[in-house]
Amino acid sequence: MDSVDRRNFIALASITPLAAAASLRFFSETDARWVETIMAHIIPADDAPGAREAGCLYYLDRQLGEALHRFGAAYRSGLARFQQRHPDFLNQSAEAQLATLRSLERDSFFEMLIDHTMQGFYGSPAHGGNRDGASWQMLGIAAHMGEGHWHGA
Amino acid sequence: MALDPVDAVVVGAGAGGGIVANELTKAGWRVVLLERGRRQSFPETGHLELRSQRTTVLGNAFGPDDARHLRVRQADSGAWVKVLPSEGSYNNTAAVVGGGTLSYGAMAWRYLPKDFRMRSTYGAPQGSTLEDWPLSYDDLEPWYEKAEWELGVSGKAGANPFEGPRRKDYPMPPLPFNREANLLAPAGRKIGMHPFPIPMAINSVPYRGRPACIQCPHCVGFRCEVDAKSSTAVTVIPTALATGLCELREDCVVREVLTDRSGRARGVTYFDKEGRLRQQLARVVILAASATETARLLLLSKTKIHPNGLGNRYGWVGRNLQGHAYSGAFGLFPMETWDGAGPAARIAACDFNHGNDGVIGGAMLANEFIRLPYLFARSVRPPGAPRWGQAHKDWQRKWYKRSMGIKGPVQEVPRWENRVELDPSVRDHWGIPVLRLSGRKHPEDLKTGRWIASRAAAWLRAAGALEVFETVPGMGVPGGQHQAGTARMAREAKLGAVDTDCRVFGVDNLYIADGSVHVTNGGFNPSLTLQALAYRTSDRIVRAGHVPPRA
Repeated sequence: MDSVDRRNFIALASITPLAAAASLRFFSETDARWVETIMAHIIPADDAPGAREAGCLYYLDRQLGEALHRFGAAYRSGLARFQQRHPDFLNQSAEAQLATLRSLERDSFFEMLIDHTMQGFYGSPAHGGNRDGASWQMLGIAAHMGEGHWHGA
Repeated sequence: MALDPVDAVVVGAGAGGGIVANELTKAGWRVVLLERGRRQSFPETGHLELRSQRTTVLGNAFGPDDARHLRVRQADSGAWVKVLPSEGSYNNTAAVVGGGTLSYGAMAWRYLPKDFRMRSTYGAPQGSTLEDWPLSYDDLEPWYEKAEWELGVSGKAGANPFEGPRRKDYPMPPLPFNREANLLAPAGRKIGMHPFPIPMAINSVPYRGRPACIQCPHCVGFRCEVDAKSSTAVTVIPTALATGLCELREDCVVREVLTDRSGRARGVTYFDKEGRLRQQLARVVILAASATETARLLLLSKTKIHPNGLGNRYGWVGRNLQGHAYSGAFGLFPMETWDGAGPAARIAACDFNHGNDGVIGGAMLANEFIRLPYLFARSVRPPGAPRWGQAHKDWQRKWYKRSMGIKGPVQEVPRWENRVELDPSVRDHWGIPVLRLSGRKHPEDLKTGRWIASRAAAWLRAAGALEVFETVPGMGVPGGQHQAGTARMAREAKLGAVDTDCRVFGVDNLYIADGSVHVTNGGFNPSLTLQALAYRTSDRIVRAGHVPPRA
């Protein structure tokens, strides 16, 4: 992302409420907080949006009722197990949370969440994530994505 | 319910079937073209990476759908496992009018003369069914030319010093080089290679009423936004329909080929959009349903006269399943290589298709199509690149525009054991037995793959790569979108399933017009070859006397 894009994003972020009031269909409010907290470590915010700001939770929540329906049971059981093993996770410092997640490398629940976070972050906004083309701006390719873009036009 | 008989019924409105339907209408034939998918417009799918035909995590953009289709494949453990169409091991080809050509990358290669003479050139390694084609490059040359001009291919004659002789240039100049190609061209020449622009079934200039490519970065996996891609859906199929002689029936799933008491084909039965079983009688039947689905239909059509299925007296149907053992390398560069100009695959070299020491065959090498962001984040990246966290984000920012891939479709050595057959118990939505796939690639493929990967790596290094990572093929069930070989063409019935006119042995009015008939699959994307054959087969069908001459 060039500096002009960065300034644009920061200006935009200051007026756009993060984690907008989209309604949840699959996750309860509580479970959503757990999922979004983990996602925010998978792709953290820096001077560009991370998974939380890009709405990856809403991508996942929506797709679990649609194309990712078959992962529903794995989320119910995986999240319950995670909550049981790490009951204080939400109250931990960011460093401690990160240490917990690092200990989960190759865990099937965490792996699934990494993949779906990446889908939500890099896929089209049409699927419910990648709000305002956040990842495309980060990569500096936003002008080329979507439809109706002639190269060089 | 029986429908009015027609001259020909064609099963599959894809790369081959669309051509045959159009050629038969030119001869004045009445044709029914059956397609399991339907016509799809661009806005239905747009440019959604996660639901394209290349990245299918949210489903196949162009089918088949996961709800009604299923296959079974043999896992490495030997167990049979069910697979859905959006999973890679299904070995999917698109179910849509245009078939694979609606969303393919559209490389339009002629095989090299030696690709038709693999056994004569290399001998048959142990455990293989490597064989020569019963046709030569020279036999196919006029039909390659016809396919290039009828469909629309851009390229530069004489640019590839390894190509077989051609009588005529391409109808359009090549697409312009992008930044990657401009880096790779001098680098390749520096290490003794002979790079050239890839021939593409994409308009570089307006051609036959369709516009030139707009160079958007999506291309492979997507329907073209402006129909610059020379899919049969926007070329020969509309032409056939415009004659009034061809009827396209969408959402129709064929159950079997009907044969009479003498063993000749009478037509087909199929389930229509409403799920009703229909019967379409015809003087000639042409199967163009892909190397997996055509084999399935031949096996499903068992009778007393054909107890093993059609064309299967000697057991060749469903055998020798092959695709391409893709191999290559991926490099990170100090400068930006990405310029957003699609389709991005622009430069190739045929220096390593043949003549490699101690290796059977080889592959064409080409730079890759643009890597869209999710694919880059998950799979097309070096081993060890950070998969999540701040390090992931930093890595993405640093390298997305400073990376390049070169890959080659390694020509596979066919094996008798690599096959599709009918599953004994699993059935699809329509109650038809599903396919099951099994086999492993030949050990030679890994050897060839390693060699090709090393050549791709050398090319990237010559272009200034800081780091290079080689990728070699997995050794599991072959096939994929380049599936071929399951109804081999041969001079006699003992050695294959169809003759040199692609007529099924033992059923003189049944033909095949897809990759099933390929004896070997070349070190190239196979579509133009199967399309050249479809033109040749159409010519043979018209001249075989099944229907009295018209017009």
